[in-house]
Amino acid sequence: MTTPISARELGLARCHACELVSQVSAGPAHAACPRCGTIIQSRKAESLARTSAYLIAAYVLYIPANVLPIMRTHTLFGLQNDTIFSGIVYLWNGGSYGLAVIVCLASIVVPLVKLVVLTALVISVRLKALGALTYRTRLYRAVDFIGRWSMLDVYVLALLTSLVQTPAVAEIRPGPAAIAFASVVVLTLLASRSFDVRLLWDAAPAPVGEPARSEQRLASSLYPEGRG
Amino acid sequence: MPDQGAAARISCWRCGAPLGSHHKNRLDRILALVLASAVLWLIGNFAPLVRVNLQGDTVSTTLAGSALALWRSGMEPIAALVLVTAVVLPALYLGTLAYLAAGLLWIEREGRAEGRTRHLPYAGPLLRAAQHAQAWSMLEVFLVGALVAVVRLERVAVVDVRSGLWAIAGLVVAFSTLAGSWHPVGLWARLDRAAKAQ
Repeated sequence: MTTPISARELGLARCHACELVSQVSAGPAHAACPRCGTIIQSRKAESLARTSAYLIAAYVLYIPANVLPIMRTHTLFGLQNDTIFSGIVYLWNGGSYGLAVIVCLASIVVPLVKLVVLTALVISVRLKALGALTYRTRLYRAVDFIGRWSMLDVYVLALLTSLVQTPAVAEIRPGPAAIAFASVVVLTLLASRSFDVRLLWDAAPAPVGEPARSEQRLASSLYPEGRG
Repeated sequence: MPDQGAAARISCWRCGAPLGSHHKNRLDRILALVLASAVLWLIGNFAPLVRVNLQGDTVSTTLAGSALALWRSGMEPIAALVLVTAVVLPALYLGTLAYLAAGLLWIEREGRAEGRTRHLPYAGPLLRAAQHAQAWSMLEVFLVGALVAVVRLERVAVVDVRSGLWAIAGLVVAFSTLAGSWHPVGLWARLDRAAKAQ
């Protein structure tokens, strides 16, 4: 069995748009993909700096997003302020346990998990950590995949604001946390998009002996008759 | 890497993620799904989504109407976010895919008839636009958000789910089918073939 070699070691890079593999120069100069014209980079530009910047901004805004009211309901009986958490409690007390859990996951757990996981990944790249590479890669993919669901509360707010517009009875308006929360959502999405998961593996010495499981699968797909 | 056509599935040596794709882009299938989605998009954007009766006062809203309400409340950036992720990008996704699939079908037909080779103009930027639009349109999240809003309002008002929301539900299904029906690698292989001399 031959040892794996990375495209980067061969001076090759894959276009992230059309997936054509082509030769790139070693320097930081931008090369355009010969097929579709997209800028090709062996690694996403300034990945760690960008991800860190988005993360720091998201951490700062995460606090007002959760502490301040996201929704204000004006009724005849006065003003009611709802935070993200009190909205979840409202659903739970109404007996919609499933939805309460979904909203709690989407609005509170997912952004926080995303922030913590991406921070840990950035630190692990900075420290050139070698352990649990496959696990860390999977963690990144999972976080990248679920991130979009934090948008849930933004849509709920938009619909409630547009539907409860009867000043004589009740009127819903977005509160100051709305901007902070929407910013956290967008910033965490940008943070996970700008993180280059291959940076984790750049620290690893080649060849990597660890993932024998996928090695097995590769071998069987290369030699379907059972050779090798 | 050897030719991936015969092998079942190749995974990344290091992390185990599936590598490459020998996905067949059935252009007629893509076009049919795009057409169906376009109809659903129109209904979902122009028909009311939800109607609420709050103590005799009836209010209904559309997709753009929900963004507009945020705009009027002084939350312009969030209104723009809702409008872009739930209205504009789904439309852009459908538009770019329609152009690419129809255009490719056309240049392949022309190529067979006249033996000439053709490039599809703007194929690169439009394919990239389709991929970004796919990644940032979040109709499925909007659908669950609508469900949450309906459940919250049901405790204080009479809530009716209208045709627009059903159209969005259909659009979510169509989009997930569409996502499995096209792959940029396969489209590029065919664009390359159409552009090269026979």
